[in-house]
Amino acid sequence: MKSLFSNSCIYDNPQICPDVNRNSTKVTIHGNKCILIENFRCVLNVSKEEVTIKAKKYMISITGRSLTIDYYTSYEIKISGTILKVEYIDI
Amino acid sequence: MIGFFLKYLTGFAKIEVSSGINTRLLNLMKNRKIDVWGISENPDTCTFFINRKDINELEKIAEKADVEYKIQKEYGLPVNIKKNKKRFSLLIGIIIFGILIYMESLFIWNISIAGEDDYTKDEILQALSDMDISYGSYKKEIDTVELERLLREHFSELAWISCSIRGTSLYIDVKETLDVFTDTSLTVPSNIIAVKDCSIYSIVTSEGTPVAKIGDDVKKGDILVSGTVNLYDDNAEIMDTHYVPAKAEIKGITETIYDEEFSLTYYKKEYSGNNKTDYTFSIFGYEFKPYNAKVQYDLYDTVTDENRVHIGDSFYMPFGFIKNSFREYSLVMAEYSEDEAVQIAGDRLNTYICELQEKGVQILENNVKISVVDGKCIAKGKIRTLENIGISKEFDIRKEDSVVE
Repeated sequence: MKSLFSNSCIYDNPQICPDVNRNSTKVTIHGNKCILIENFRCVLNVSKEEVTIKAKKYMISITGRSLTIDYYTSYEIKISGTILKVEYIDI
Repeated sequence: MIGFFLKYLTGFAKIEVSSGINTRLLNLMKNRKIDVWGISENPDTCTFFINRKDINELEKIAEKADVEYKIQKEYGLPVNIKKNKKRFSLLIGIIIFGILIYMESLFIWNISIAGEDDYTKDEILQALSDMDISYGSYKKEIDTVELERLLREHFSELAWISCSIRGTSLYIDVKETLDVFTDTSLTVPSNIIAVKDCSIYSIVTSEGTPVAKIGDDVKKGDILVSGTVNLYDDNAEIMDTHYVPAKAEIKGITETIYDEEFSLTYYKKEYSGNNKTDYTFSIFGYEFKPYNAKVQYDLYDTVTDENRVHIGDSFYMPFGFIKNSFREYSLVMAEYSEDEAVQIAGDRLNTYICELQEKGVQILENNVKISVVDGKCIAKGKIRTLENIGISKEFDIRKEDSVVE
């Protein structure tokens, strides 16, 4: 039986979002003012121009102006300011 | 908003770190699952907020990260409670006061009776007391509909009763002026009988068999309209009998003898102006007097003024005070002049007539004469009135059957 709204069969295994079991890092960017990173490892560098965050398999470098950390919890970090560049760097 | 409220409940603190943002400190806090927010960087220092419960953990981390920190300020409910520990008893007092107010609102603390005329307030209160309704009765146990029915049964001459509960007050409105003659609620077989000796002036029957005719002189208790309705066949023999609640409007002319006399000499109270007052406090129906006023007057009036504490019109509290005033007076012999006496007798007669008219009685003739004889004022004479004289009275069908047979 085919679902009306998708081509996949309803008897297929449900596709779990990869960030739910914390296997991958989820990056959410709102415009150029705010970036939210979930499931990261640690913060490597913090300055007003650059914040570097270490994820599981790569590093995320955020470059911008007046960057600040809004909050920082065990699974999520929110950085705001003017974001100019987000770069993924292989370790 | 909810997040802030939860944080306020558990409490949070503003931490100042002497260096700039220290990534090692941040990462250690992340690993220990310490939430950090509101990070702001100053030239020499860095401030951020953490939950109050994490302060101890931060101490260990700061040592590890080789950072000096200080708690700038603490916020939240636990901090406020700690700060206002001395005012805690006040808070407890407010809470207890609220609970007490709620508890007292569950009971009746005021009974207001309005509209009574022939019956006194005390009589109605006594009847209520017999039904276990008095000051301090539990509100939920009072069924106003049932109470109306019981009162109607108890005071058969009350035409209309309304009971309602508002706040902590029980309001009872009664009406006595609508007399029993207008009561058409009777559904059981009944006759209409005369309530007093009279001459029938008019009779309009809507149900039942009229027994009396216009112009008949009837005695108290005579049947005027019978509730027995016979059906006759062509031979004028009773074919069938029905029993109905007789309904009719019957007016009769009655004569009432008015006789009142009073002496021209009387004792008059002359107040000396000496007053004494004392107070009685009442709480939950119990009364106590802090002191008794020493009243050494020979003759005095006692005026009692009861004040109950209440919020608004209907929310009465179970406490109040009673002010007792004692006013000294002396009795002085005085005498009415003839004109004054006639005036007083006339006023009393007018009041009597007004009371009759309020009950729906029409005055046809007033032959009362007022005279002053031998130091006495006498008002005597007959008053001819036109009034409803029929009242329903139930009858036993079995007895009626035997009469018919």
